[in-house]
Amino acid sequence: MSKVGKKLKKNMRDNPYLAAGLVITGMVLLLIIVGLFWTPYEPTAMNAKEKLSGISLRHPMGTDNMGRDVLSRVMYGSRITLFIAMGTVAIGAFAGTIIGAVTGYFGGMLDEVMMRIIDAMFAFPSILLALVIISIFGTGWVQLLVSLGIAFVPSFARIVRGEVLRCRNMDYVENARLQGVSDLRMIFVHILPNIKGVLASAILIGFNNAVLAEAGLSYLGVGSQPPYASLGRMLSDAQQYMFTTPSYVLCPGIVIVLMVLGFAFLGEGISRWK
Amino acid sequence: MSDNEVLRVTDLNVFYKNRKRKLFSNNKKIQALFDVNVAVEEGEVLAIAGESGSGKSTLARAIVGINRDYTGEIWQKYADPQMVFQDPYSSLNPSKKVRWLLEEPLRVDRTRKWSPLEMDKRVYEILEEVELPVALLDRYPSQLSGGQRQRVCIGMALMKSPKLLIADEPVSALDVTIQAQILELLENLHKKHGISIIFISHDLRVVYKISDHVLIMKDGRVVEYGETRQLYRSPQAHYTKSLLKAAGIV
Repeated sequence: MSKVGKKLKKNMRDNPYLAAGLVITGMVLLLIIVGLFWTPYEPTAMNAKEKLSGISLRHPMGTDNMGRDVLSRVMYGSRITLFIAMGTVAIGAFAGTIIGAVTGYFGGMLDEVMMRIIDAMFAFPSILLALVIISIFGTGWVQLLVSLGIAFVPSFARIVRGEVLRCRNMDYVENARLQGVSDLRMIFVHILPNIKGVLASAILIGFNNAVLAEAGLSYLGVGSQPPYASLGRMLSDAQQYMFTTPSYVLCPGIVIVLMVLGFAFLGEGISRWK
Repeated sequence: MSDNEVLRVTDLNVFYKNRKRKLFSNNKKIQALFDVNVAVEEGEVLAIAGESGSGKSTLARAIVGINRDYTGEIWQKYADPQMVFQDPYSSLNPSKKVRWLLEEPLRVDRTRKWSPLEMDKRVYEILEEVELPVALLDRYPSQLSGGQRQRVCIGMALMKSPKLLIADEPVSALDVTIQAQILELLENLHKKHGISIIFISHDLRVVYKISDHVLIMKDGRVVEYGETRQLYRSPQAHYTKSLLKAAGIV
């Protein structure tokens, strides 16, 4: 067995968070991966005779108000949700980290100017900001992903800047500077690895927020377009049938919860990795 | 001025930014050192002693180039003086292993390129020099004791064979038995390689043991400078006398 495999096995045993995170995330991923190749029904196929049926053998998660199979739609929708959330966090974390690290490290005028821009972006709720960007570039999931990504940049930039500011005056940074380490190498090789824990939790919180923001925007009709739907979209569609057919709202909801929970556990487990 | 000097500091005034400055007040800077003159000869140990806040570390940091805001002259015979910091718990990057930390000065060496083989060889040389077992190479700083960490710091400082080493209270954060070991290590390195050392300490007993010359500082000014034994025998300045008295030496 490889070295990494051994370590993973040991960590799985001592670290319940990691184990739980891997299992839950694995379940959701399995659902998504299977959904890539096979779904019980066509996610868009309607059946007027079986509208809003509850959980049954024919429809393990019931059907929606147009008689579409909820399991099939969940399999398809969780893929969209995962993709948008990951893309959003990836854009936000990447750009935010670079902006935060550079401004925090160098300080001075650059820092002042960048931070005022970030402050201005903070003044808008991120959903509103995303809406503005979408209204410029049009609707669709690519636009949604990019605009949410941009809306997520300020929070990452803030967090990373604060952490870099904290590390910048540590003795080990000065020690490295004496050895002739250049500024860029200092930021990316010496300082950033020390804030990966904070960054990891920021990414996980960001992931949760992205799932919610995507749901909110889809509700407003600017996210994924019908007939396909992300989990958030399904949830908002389902809310008027909450009492007549609870399975319709519960099933996508539970998948969102599992997705978020799995990643949260995974993050906690990774931060305790030994 | 002898040809033998590795460092000469002339009329050095060092400034810090005034962090408590009010919006309209004039004093943008605080002066931390006032007209400091000092020289270090090749292969000698100069001790800088004085109470906390007397400017010992400020002087050290100006010499190695961390404090850049100064007037006066700092002349050095060799480039790249190295420094060992006071707190071995914060002066090692916690996310890197010891081997990586020791290799880093070589990786960023602008004067020459080190092949992996040479780097490896140098790491083992230094490891022997600072008397650390090879097994520690794959540990993180958090897995080492204070004494071991300080040895790693000294090792990092020695990687590129500096001619001048500044040790800023290198033993203050360690317990007494470990202190003695680290001091012995520094003395051995000094004897073996003839490195000039500036040893900063507030412990006058340690200073007596290790140094050839002493510089006594107070409030950013030099109070007294002299050959160690001479100065301990007949201190001139009133402040030096009181320091020696407080240390229970006189």
